[in-house]
Amino acid sequence: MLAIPDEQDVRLRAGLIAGDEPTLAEVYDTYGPVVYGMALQVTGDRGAAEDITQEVFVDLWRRPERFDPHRAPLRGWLMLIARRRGIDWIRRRGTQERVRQAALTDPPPALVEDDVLASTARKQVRRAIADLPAPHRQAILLAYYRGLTYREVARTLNIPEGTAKWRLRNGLRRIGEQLRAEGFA
Amino acid sequence: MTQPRHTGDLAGAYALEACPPDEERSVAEHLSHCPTCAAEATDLGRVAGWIGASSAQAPAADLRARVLSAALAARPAGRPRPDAEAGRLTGIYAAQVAELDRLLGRLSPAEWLLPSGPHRSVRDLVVHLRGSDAPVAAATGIARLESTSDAHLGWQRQAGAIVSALGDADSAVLAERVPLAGRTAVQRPLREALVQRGFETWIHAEDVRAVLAAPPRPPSAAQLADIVAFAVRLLPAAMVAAGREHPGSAVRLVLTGDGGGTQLVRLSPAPGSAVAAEVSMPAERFCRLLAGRLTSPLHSADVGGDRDVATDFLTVAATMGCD
Repeated sequence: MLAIPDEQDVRLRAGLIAGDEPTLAEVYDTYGPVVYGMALQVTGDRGAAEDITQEVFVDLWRRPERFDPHRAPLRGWLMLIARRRGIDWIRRRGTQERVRQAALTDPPPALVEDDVLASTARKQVRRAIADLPAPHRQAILLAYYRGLTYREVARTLNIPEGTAKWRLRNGLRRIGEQLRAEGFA
Repeated sequence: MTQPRHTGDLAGAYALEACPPDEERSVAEHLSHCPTCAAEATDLGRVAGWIGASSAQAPAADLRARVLSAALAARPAGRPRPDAEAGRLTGIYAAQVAELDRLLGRLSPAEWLLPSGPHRSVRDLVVHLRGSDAPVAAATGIARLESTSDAHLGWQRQAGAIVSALGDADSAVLAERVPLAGRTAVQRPLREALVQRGFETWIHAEDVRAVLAAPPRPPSAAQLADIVAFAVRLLPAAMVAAGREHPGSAVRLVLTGDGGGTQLVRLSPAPGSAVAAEVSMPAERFCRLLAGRLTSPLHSADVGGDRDVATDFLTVAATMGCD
């Protein structure tokens, strides 16, 4: 879908394919926080998040050619995998009920706030999520971090499916509008 | 409910990967030809990405060493992923398979019974080719294929399975040692066996073209270069096996045209490579010579230096094919 792949992504992919160890370290240093943070957000479990982080980077190193920079940026691709693995983990582990309970509260607060990676931007995004009406926020968090389909979101929140779909779309739009107004591109 | 023309409210669920699989597919299909919905999907997808990135958090410092050492244990540094190579080699092989398949499809029942290459009939040739492909098929772990008495179908199924199994093979698979066709005592990495499969498939396509009175068709420059490299690696040991080795001596092989280049070929596995003779010809002709398809191999090349050495070299080279 990306017309032009990101230059840095292309370079990193080539380095990984060549077996270049410094590139592996660079990729970990650059994307370790988003991968780990995503896994932690989904699982709420440090040990699980660390295991998932390890799996994600080991897999990337073993089969870097699977990453296609024409389809998605590396950051988004790694987050997607971390998220899916996290969702698999909670599905294997928890009962639906526990998942539902966990989902109905907001995601666990940040355990540490010391990393500097785009921290201002991060706060802006978190604020935009927090500014959403609660029903919108709940729907988005259930779908995104718990891996529920909109139909499952509807059942969980006891709302019509059409309403669940609308909240997901409308919630994302609101976040997007707020962030773009704050200069996100 | 009828299928909505546009993505509508599904756009949000789609961006969050929250559609059931069937709806996800139909949305993706719609997006491929609706720029308006595609633009919204891109937009909302970006917002989802921002949400994801906002959970970024520095992992514990010791995780770095753990991850890097686990990665390096799974795949040592400095070892390029051969997948590009597996894809390339499989692609070359697949092209020859497709071409031979096409040629076989053109044969009349009577033509299937005509002699072809060194074989009594095209049918025998295809059965032979299938047998030659079998060790590679076995090494790739292809599940048992349905047996068939149809020679064309049997070969084609197995070849197709090899193509799909090896297109994205990883380093371990390509390095696995398999017996080479025609010289089962020689175990070589699968990547070389795959070059040999492409080589033999091309040569048999040429045999079938002769039956059809179709003009010959040289392989691509890349395939020619692969075949030459494959043979050059095997030649020193083949010289010994044929009792024609010249320890310490080498032939300077000058190949012209597509896939050409100059290289020293040692005339035994012993160290040393003093050039005793020079042999020059087009790379394509050299490949036909390797396959045993030249009627007078000794007169196929320009030869300089020690003629006896050159004769031994050309004689052994002409046995490198597999019927």
